[in-house]
Amino acid sequence: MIESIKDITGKWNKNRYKVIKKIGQGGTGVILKVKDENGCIKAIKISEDISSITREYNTLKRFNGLKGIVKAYELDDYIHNNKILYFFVMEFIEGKNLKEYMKRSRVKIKEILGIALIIIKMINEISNKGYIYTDIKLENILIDSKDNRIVFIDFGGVIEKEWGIREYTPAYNMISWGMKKNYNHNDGTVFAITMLVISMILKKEFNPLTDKLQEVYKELNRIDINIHIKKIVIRGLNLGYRDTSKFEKDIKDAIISIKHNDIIANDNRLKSFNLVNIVFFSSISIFILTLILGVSLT
Amino acid sequence: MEKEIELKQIILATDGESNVGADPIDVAKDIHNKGITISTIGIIDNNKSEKPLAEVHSIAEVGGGISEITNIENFSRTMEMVTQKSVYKTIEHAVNKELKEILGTELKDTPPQTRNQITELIDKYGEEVDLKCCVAIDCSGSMTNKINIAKNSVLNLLKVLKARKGRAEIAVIGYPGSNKIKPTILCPFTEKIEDLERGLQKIKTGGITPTGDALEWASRLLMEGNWEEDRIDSVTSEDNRDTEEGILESNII
Repeated sequence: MIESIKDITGKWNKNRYKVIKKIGQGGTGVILKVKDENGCIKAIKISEDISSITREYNTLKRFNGLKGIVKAYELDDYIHNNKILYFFVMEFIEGKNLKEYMKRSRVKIKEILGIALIIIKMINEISNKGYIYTDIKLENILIDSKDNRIVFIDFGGVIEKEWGIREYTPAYNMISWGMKKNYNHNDGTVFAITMLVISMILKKEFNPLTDKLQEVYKELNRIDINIHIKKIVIRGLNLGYRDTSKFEKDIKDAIISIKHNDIIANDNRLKSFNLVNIVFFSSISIFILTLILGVSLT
Repeated sequence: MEKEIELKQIILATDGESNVGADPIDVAKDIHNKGITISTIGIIDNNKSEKPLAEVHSIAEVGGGISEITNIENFSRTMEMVTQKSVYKTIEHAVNKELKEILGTELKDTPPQTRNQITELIDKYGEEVDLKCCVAIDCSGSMTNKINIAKNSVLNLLKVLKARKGRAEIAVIGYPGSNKIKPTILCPFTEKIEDLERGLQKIKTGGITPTGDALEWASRLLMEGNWEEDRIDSVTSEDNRDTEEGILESNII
């Protein structure tokens, strides 16, 4: 039904939006790319569910101003074929989500860890305001190619700190993976970010209903990655971090150690190059020497 | 809307339509009149294009709940979503009724800027209200290869609900019961994961699909607490599945 909408006029604020195309489908609504009356490109989330649209808009409003969070503009109703639909208007982000990004391009491990650090920072900023972002997954994180930043979208699942989770994605959820430990937000967040890092490293998402956690470990063992990183992701999966601070520090250290290794690798390359040179030049000189000797002997 | 209110709901999970016994739509109507919400999940096969589970939608419609169609891979997430959504739907319904009585308007008639206060109230109730949820699982022959995922999904549901502020209890019945139209209580109402895990091991598949009767019995379980005569308590062998923790570390480095 929502697919057939071409124009949206707000019932209360009377603003008009021309629908360009559908760009996404969430658990609670459809996302449309639209053009407002000034010709500006924006995005609209629209749904029949009044509470979830109102809730998400108000959550976004609370975070307006934070760099990594999509900006929200207005909340309104639209009557379509005698049925009321609820929508809010937000900033349109030109870019790819991490899932598309991961598939399309070769992402370096350093970059993956960098992304993880930014995500941790944003999760902490949200948490400082008293909220938890529970639905951490590749599709909910965009790389804004215009402004060069990482943006969180979909705030439907954001909850107050002491509440239980409402929206999540099994691949990134410790409960779905059958963890014995009772759920708490600190463990849940570290686990989700760890899984996100693993998905990006392995270029693959796992499904806890069909895959076992052992599979994840096996696949990690199969590839050649830095031992520090391996240790961090295993500790993350084992719920071995009490909160994000040590997790964050370990990732930072890993990035530094990779840089260090790069330098050593470069050094070695340089050294071996010299060695080759020495061998090469000395062999030439010996060759010339024998030539001279040969000539002088004859 | 006192806080002591306990929300009662039935979550029906099936991969087919009722083929024997009472008419599920009639039964669902009666149950909803008693203040119980019925939500439904229709499970479809990916490779087969089955006819849409129309009955599943109708049951939820007269039952005041939510209905969703899913493949078995997404069953866990869907069940959790359906349960939570139907909680909010029920509360929203009650809040709207009160609004209408007090103000003569509904949530949708108030300007968007002022809705915030009401949805925050709904959120708060949704988080704090006590929940009693009876899961009725179709255990007919066609469910055989999906039953393991269904089991894990019920367990995950309780784990997710336990993280809420309000109390959550789950009971599970499987239908049909052993060779009868009457379903089997796999697990009476409990808050404990261990009880639920033990109960779910009793699941056996095979037989017909008496959906209406299953709903009837689920509502009796919700209203009366238990019906004892049919219980099989012969669960002795507990599967000692090793958990992932611990062994894995040595596995990898």
